Amino acid sequence: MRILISGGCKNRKSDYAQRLAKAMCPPDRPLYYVATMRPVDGEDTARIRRHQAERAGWGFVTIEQPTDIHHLIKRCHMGGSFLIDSLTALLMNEMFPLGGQPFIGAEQKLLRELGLLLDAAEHLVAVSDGIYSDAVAYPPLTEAYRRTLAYLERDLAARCEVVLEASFGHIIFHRGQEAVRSILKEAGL
Amino acid sequence: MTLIFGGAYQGKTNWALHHAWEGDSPRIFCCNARSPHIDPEADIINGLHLYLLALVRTGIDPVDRLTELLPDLEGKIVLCDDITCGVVPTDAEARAHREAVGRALCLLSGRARRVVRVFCGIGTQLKP
Repeated sequence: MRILISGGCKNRKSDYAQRLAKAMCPPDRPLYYVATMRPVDGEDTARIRRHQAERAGWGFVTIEQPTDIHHLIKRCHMGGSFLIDSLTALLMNEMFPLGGQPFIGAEQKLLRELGLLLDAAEHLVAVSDGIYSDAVAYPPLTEAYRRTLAYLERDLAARCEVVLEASFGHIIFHRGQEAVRSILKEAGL
Repeated sequence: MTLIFGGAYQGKTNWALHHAWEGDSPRIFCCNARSPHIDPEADIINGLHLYLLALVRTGIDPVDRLTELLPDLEGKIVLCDDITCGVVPTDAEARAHREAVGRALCLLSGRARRVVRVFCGIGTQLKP
């Protein structure tokens, strides 16, 4: 089953995603945490440490894949369970390469690569961020990033059996409530 | 009136065309932030938040004007970006706009026959 979780920051998206990825993982198959963030400062490093502490003892194998997400198909057992946290960081890395020019083709690249991954993965949870409901007028490049993330989410949502929104410790079901019921129970949610 | 709202780029227009509009090619009016005007002949009014911004910029009370406009919106599909979340903007015009959208969406939600929130291209009907 493929699951997309989005929502505001600090709404428990990562916690839900970890529980769901673990609950979906078949016995004797790997449970992968796909780390996407490229730390650039102490704040990022602290966030990564917090996330690492939160998933300690859960049995995750951490795979660093900040770009070229479809390379997971070669690197991993595709019958395992994948937690991809997050689309937001993946797009950031593809669109704004370190020391390079912004790459506007990131949208097409990620649509293709995520499509390949979703076709190949049996069990996958992808986390994204709802950054579409504020009143700030952003510079064009930031607006392009926001629009592109929304397009990626919509494409992924159309491919996923389950689409969830985390809302301050609650789950809003946009698709697949019945399909995910037993997994939620297994995940203690 | 059918009210469809949601964050930016969530697929509101697409949802309106596939799930709310019944008929041949609809007349779509796209609001803009430069002129506080809505075409009364349109079937779908897109980007109401921009119309509200135009009202804020011209110093017209957005909710008063929208209240006067309600009879004209009868039978139409109205699309609006929800810009009410996020941090309170430091810019006074952006603050007034954000609040205008919140109050306008409450007003329209109350009057609309059908209210739909779109998230990641998926519509959730909040009313009826």
